[in-house]
Amino acid sequence: MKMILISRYLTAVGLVLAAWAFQALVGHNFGEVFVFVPFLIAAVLTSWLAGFRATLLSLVLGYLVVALFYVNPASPLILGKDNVVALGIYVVIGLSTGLLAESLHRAVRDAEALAGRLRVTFQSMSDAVMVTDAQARITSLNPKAAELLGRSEEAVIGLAIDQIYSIRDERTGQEIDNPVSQILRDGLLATQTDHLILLRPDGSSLPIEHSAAPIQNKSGEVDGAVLVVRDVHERREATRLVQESERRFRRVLENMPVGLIAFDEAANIIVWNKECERLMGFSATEIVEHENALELILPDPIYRHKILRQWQERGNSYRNWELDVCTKDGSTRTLAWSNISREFPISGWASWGIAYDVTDRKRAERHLHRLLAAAPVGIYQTDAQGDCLFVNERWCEIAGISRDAALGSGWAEAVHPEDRQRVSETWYGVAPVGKEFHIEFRFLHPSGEIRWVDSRANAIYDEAGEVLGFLGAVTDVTSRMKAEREHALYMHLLENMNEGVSLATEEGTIIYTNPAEDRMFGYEPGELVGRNVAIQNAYPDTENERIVGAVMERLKTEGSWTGDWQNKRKDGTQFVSSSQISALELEGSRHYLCVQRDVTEQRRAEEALQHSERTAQHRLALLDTIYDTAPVGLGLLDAELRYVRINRLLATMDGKTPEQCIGRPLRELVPELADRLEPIYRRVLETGEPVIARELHGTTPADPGNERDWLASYYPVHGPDGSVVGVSSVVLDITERKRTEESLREADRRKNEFLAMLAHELRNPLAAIRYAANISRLPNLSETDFDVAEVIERQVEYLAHLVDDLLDISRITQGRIRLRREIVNTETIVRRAVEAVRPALEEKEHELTLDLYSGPLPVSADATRLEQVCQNLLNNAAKYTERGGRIRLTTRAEGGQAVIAVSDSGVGIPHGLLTQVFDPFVQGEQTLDRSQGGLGIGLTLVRQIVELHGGTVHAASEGMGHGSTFTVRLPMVESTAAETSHSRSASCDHSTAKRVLVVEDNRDAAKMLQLILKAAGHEVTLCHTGTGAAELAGEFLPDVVLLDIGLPGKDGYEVARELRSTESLRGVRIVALSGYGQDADRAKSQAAGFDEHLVKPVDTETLRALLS
Amino acid sequence: MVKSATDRVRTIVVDDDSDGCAILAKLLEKLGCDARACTNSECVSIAETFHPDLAILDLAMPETDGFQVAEALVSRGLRPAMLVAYSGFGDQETISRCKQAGFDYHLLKPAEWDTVYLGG
Repeated sequence: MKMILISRYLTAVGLVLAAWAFQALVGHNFGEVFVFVPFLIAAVLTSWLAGFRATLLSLVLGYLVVALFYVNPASPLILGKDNVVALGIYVVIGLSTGLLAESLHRAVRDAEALAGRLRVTFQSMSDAVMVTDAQARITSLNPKAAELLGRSEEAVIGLAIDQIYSIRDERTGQEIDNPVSQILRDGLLATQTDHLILLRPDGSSLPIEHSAAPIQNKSGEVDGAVLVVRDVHERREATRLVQESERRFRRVLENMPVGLIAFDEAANIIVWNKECERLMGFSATEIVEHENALELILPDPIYRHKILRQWQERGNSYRNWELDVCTKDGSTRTLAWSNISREFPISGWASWGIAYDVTDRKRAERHLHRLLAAAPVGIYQTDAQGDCLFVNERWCEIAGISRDAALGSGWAEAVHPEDRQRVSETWYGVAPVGKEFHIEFRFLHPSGEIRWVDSRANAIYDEAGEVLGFLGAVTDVTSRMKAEREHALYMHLLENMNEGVSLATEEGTIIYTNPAEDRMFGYEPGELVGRNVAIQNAYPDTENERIVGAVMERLKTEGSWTGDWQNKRKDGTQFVSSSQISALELEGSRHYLCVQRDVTEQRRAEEALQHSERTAQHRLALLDTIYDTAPVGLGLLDAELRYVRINRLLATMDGKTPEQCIGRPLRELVPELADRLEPIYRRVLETGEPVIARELHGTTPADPGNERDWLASYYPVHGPDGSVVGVSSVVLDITERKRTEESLREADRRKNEFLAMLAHELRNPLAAIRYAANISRLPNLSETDFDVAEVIERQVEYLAHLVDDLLDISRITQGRIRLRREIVNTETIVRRAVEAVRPALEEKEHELTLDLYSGPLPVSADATRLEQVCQNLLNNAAKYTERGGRIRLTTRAEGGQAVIAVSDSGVGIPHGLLTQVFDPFVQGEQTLDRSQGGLGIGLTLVRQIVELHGGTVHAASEGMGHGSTFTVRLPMVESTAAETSHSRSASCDHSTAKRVLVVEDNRDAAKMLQLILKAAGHEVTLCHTGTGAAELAGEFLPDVVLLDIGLPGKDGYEVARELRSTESLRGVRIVALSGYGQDADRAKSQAAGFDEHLVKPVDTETLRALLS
Repeated sequence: MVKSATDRVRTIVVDDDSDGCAILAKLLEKLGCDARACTNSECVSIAETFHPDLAILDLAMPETDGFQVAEALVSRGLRPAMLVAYSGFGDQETISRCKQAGFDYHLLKPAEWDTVYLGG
């Protein structure tokens, strides 16, 4: 370079020197102005040849030459005016030429440099370059191209490129169109890089890439092409080597015995080796090409997200964590997974991981866990401090708490409070030193259940001998403890029980006896052991075999035998035991267990009991029968007042059957009585005192509306403890009795009234008679102003009439009257009666009106009786009508009946009494001031007689003070023609007067008979004893003897026989008077010689008939 | 035994049974009384003039019974010194009723004559 610069400056100097020389030769012919021209030319030449800096030098040198040698050598630097212009031109032209030359030089230089470089480049390019003209003839090529083509440069210049560049497709072997031709044809850039093979002249081929570009001239026409061909043989080889290396590497990876997986940033799996394929079944293609391959192996989205999150959380690197993956066949495998994530130089961020299949190990672990969990003993694991880390299910079951609750020191809570401190102290005492632990204690379950456990634990040591923790087992020994307790209990029981227990082998050898057995048989304790059971039997040898055989047979079939057994004690005495023998298997052989009790006394007692039970049952049956058939109501109620028992009669009272009553409450059965009954029952229940004979009146549902009476007693029924458990009731239906009583009371009242009236009625005539008798005894009887006898006669007649009425009513009541019927005209009867009562009517100044039927009213009647009816009605009217009243008697025919009506203006009859007036002894109001006398039997007789005649009598009254009407209706008969008789009763027939002896110890009765008979005109003698009767009869010579049978001293039969044996009394009629009227009585009297047998009281009619 | 009329006890016998009444009066007369028999309706008017010392009144009489007769006598200031009920009814009720009515005695028919007399 320096050399070049020096040469340039030398050029400048030379040219200036040349110019100077020229100047010197030419001289100053051109004037001073032109002095610079040679030097200017020198400067221009310099600028052309040597560049700008040499030009500057040339200009400076030229000036110096001019100035020094041509212008003013004395003052070279002072130029004239002309010189200045010349200098100016010189400088301007010189500089601009220098600059121009300089830039021209530079451009040339640059072009030359570029061309040189291009040429070098062209020559040295590693790619082959061929340039063609528009006809595709090669114009140039670089050495590489020549080498590639296998020809010399000179050989190919000018050849068509087709001739020397032959290419084929590597894969197909087909010739490929030359790209230069393509370009020249189509004007398009053509590049093909793949699979090209250049066929070389020597027959070899090279893999190439080529590209072609058109060369365009300034007008844009294509006048050539450049073809660049690259020999890719080496590169391809290098690639092949790399690939080979990678393949090897991959093969290693592929065949690594661990799973290799890599993920890119998007969590796509990019590496999946064979082990992975083997482990998970998915081929690498399936995984790598899958868009989200993680889903295949982690199908559970939750688990997948959890894993991904863990990845994120765990950072770039982690080791050995377990991953449960899903294999292609759907099974799950557990992988131990280690992973590293980082930015790799080429491939960028990736996460590489290796995975081991730990499924089997995990399975084994799980299996072990399950084994522990399911272990039949409770297992627990603790740390070195004794705090619980693990318990299995069985432990939880035994302890009665959950696993979570057991952890830490929680297990102690499950321990029974009484054992807790002991266990805790023992455990935490053992734990720090790592000793063995063994304790028995109880767990108390929340349910209250207690579990006895045996707990053992051993320390676990690490390699250094440090205690890691404890592993323990808990065994439920509850049943063992229970069994031990039970055993103790059974032993206690056996030792203390009263029953003898013995155990014998099948051969009969006794192997155990309890104390009771020893005592029972009189042996020392244990003495029986080893003996044969036969020594206990009391049966004689002959029988023993049979009995024992039967028992053994039974034991074989049934397994047990129960019955009484005849035993023998050691001392030979015998007793009976109730035995139960059962067969049992003990230690593989058959044994017999016998439990027995001495029942000698018991059997005796039982027999007695059975006997008494039979008796009791018999009695009970009897009681049942009595209960059911008793003529009283019997019931038993419980404390709730429900019927427990009821007999038929009581149930019937309630209108039910006993079955319908049982269990039903009292109130339901007798609602109307319950209010009264329940307090009684309650009182009995509360006090336990009976309530006796309580009368009750009311109705039952069985018979509503019919009031009944009961007499009931209530007795407490005591339970076994003495408390009152029920009430037994005894109910008597006394309705009838009450009615009877009521009627009896009524009858009694009437009787009393009647008796009072009778007494009254009797006293008046008696008084009169007495005073008459008194007077007759007085001295001055001469006075005749008073007919004493007449008074007596009248009064006796009254008395006799009274007695007649009394006897009549008695007789009619007893149905013993016999009507002497005849056809009579009613009018006749009525008139006769009116005559009979007229004195009484007149005495009371009554006005009697007769309104008699004009025609006949024939009736078939006993005239006397019918007259009595009319008399009584008229008397009654007279009696109950105030003095001076009006009485009307009417007869008429009405509907085939003869009607006799007696009405009065009297006191009338109260409405309530209308139906009763005909009852015996009923009178009007019973007051003294209203006393009308009489016995109150008149109307009774009226009705009875009328009814005997087939008629009716009816009383009517408008009420008190309105009088009354009595109407008698009798059936009429056809004819009155027969009405002729006017016969009167025999009583009035004095022609038939008889001599009558009355033998009667009752003086009054005798007197009364006497009165009656005398009143009838008979001659009567009384005798009051049997002894004197016959004698008196012999004196009196009676026609008739009325002989009482029940006589003191000598009775009627005897008297009768005496009378019959008395000659003077032949033909006498002997009539028995007896209180007895049975056939046997009659027969007896007949046998004694009586002609007649009359029953007291003897009615006058009978007497009349007898004496007529 | 027979005394003068002034000395004799004036007795009135009242009974609806005319026989009994008359014969008692007769008996009392025989026994020395100044006795008169009358019916219940006549009694008061006779007593007004007769002024009996003793009245023997039957009780059960029609229309006016013995009690009413006694009351009539008392109310008219005619009460005799001795008022005797004389009845066939001897029950306790009648007897007590007699006492209430102011009777001095109750005699049951047929009373013994000496009783009647002594009562006089």
